[in-house]
Amino acid sequence: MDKDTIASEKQMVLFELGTETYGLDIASVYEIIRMQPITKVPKAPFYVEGVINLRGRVIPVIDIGKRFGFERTGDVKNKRIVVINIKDTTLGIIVDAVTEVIRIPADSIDPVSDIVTSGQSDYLMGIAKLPEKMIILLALDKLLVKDDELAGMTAEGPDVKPELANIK
Amino acid sequence: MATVMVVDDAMFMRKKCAQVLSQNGYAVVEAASGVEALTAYQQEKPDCVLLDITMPDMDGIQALRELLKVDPDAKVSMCSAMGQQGIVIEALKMGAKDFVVKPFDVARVIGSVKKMIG
Amino acid sequence: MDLAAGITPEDLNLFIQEADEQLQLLDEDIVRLEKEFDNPDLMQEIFRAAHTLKGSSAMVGHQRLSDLAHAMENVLDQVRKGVLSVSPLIIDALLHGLDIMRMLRKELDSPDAEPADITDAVAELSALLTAVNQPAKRITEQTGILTPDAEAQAELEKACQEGKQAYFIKVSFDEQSNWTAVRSFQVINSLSAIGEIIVSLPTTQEIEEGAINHLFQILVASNNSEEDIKELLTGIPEVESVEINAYEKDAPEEAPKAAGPDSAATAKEDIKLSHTVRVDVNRLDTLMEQVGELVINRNQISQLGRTLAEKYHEDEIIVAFGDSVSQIAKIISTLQQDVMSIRLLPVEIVFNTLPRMVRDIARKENKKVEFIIEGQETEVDRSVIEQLRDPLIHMLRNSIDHGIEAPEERISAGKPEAGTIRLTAMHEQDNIVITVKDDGKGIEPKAIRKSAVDKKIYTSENISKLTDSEAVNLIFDSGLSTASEVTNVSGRGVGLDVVKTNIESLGGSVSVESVPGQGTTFTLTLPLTLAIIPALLVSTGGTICAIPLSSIVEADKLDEKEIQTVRGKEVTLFRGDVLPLLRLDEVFGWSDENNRNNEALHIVVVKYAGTRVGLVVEELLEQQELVVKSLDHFIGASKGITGASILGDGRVVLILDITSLIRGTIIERQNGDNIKTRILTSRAGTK
Repeated sequence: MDKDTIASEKQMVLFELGTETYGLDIASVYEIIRMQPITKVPKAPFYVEGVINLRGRVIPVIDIGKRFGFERTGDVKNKRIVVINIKDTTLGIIVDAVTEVIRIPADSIDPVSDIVTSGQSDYLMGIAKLPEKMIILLALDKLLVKDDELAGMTAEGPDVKPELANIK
Repeated sequence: MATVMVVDDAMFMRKKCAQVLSQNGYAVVEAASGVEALTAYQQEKPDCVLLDITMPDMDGIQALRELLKVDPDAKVSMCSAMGQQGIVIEALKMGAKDFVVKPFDVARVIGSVKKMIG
Repeated sequence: MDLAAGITPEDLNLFIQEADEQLQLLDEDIVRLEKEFDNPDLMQEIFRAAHTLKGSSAMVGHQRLSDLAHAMENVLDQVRKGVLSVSPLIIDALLHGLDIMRMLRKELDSPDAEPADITDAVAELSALLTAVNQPAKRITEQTGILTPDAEAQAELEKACQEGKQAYFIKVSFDEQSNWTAVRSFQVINSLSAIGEIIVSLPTTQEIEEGAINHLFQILVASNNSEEDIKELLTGIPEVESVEINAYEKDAPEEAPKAAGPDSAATAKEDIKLSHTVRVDVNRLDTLMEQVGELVINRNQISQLGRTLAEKYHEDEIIVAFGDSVSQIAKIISTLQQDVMSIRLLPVEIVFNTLPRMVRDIARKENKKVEFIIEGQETEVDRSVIEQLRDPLIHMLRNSIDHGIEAPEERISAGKPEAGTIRLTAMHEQDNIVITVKDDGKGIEPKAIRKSAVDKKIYTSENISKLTDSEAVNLIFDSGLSTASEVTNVSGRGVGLDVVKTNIESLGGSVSVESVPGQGTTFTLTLPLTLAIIPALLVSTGGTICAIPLSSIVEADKLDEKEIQTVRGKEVTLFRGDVLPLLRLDEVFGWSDENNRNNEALHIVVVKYAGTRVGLVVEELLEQQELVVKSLDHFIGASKGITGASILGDGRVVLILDITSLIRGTIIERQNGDNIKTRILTSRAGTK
């Protein structure tokens, strides 16, 4: 398990994707912005929505819901772009809504069982069990590595959906 | 605090040497060439000088000669790598006070500086 | 590999930075040395670079690098002293050593790399030294005992009369020491400071000649005590033991006269500190990017100012605001130009790496080449510099391989044995023009014509319509080669098609002129910067894209009726030529032939690999200067996009790379089973 998670607490930004709540380590979140016009990019991987202008920088925006194989839900107006910084890459992630920032005690985080992820637990850091809900903690650096492998695939490509959707 | 001037065109050597000296409590003035050394010597009046031999434009020997003209009591230690024995001797004959072999042995650099400043 | 103790990552960075400079310097200079073997300054510079590398690499603990640099330095020292004279053999050995050094340097980046072996390179270098058969200076062990002669006796006597005590001193040095001569001098200096040296064995002169081993005997007269002297001498490094005895007899001798500072002319006039600073290129890029953002914001503010002025043109505040806006706009323009000029670099950076390459190829091909570089101080933007090297290499290879004849052939043609290749750079308006001119055999238009017909690129009827100059320029066409035998370097023309395509996609051009029997000149023209490009904005599939003007031939309306199909592929007749059409939105996969929009279409005719292609778009918007921003590698995977830019209203537009876009589309459609359109490349349309 990640060394950081052994520390007593982790501060996470929580956001919603479909009916699930996800958490991102606050250290990797650069800022959260409103939805804005996205310029389509031809032949980009299917989950790359396009690029946006972040105060003069052109950064890619990915639809993490598509990435995980969710159906598109919710009102576009409420959607937010979470801008993250990972390994020298800045990119935006479209989420349905950003709910809150909380501290999660490290001992409430469980490793992910292969059963819930069909063996693809790489993107997940773990699952935090809080009294009221479960939070899926994302390991973004891992996600990006996979994305690099997928980068060549286009929207027309067959079976590129990672089987991550069935965490229930 | 005593001031030591380090003269070497090789940036890495100069920085490393300066680092060692400042860690041992000396103020350091750096110069990247003989010409710079002469100017800096007159401005900063260092207590002693570590002078590299192999440098462009004005080599260590020339620089030493000029330094001694400016200040006949200049305390100069020559720095040199292998294979320059003849030049070192020339420097010593001209009035260099000491000599340090490159790559630097920290103790030797400090020892040489201490010996010159007394 | 393990580094020396106390070397921090910052130290290592510093070392690497300097080592890279020295290696590059060596690369350039060693090749120059072959020609300028009698240039002492050059020799000195090479020696210093090797010397610096030796020292600093030993410092960081890269012993093999240091050892190899040492071996090179030894050879260089002998060359410097005139013992060895510059020969191809020596240059080869030095360059070989340099290659290994580069590998050693790379080990610092990838610690897991297989450690490079320096044995061969060192042996090669050392062999040069033994080849000279230079007898090592004979060092005779001083077994004798120092005995003062009459003169020394007299001097000793005199010193004793002055109340000094004479001492007989034996100093032994460390057996391992390589510095006994220097150490002996330090002994002499120390003793001279406190007394008078009567005589020594060996004498100072003998020491200078290297005739000292590990024992040094001195007779000295001093007022200091035995203990003082002992302390003084043991403070000298590598002194193993000091034996001091009071000496009873006396004799004089002329003390070695210290060579006083002689007042030779020195470069005292130009005493000044450097007025330049080093700046990391990444910082420069960031600065450029920020200025680019300023420019975008300036455009936005200017637009806002105009809107306000139109709406409230009587309002004083708005007028004042407008003035202030135009002032800021001016300053920003100046700032942009200044930053652009900081980014300018002399083409020297690329040119300097070429002589080595020219030499290697020429040696391999057994040709003699005189390589002349001119205008290396010509400056271009960093972005362009990076794009110059590959095309130049191709052209130079081409000239050496196919232009310059073998020495015998040249002589029988009445030419000098060595061919000349002249590389020249100069500015011409907003472009840099680089020429590669050789005095070789030139290109036969006849041979090109024949080859073009043989390869079915042209019909014999069409080929006869081309002028000689047009025919010769066909060597940039893919697949054309006139080399009667293809060497391992390149067939004439091989690679040149790639050069042309790449240069054109950067907004430049390349051409060739040749006089059979007299030589060939390649001319390469590139814009001074790639950071800002003029482009045409078009809309397709509801998105705005930018097409660089350098790729565009012309743009016009396109009536649906003008579109015809040839075996299912859309074409149109344009200026009398059949032009294949590509619908941009379909190329991008945003639309397909089932829901084609056929109203209000426009066509942008672009250059592609010597032919033309019509891109069908919805609207032509406007022409603009765009500040190019790079895209993240994620998006960068999309072929056909060279970068992005931000418009005055904040929207992002993608800048198309026409060449890779069209090439990618052709390949995709040829490979894919879902062939919708196959592009016809109309070879007829080169002019």
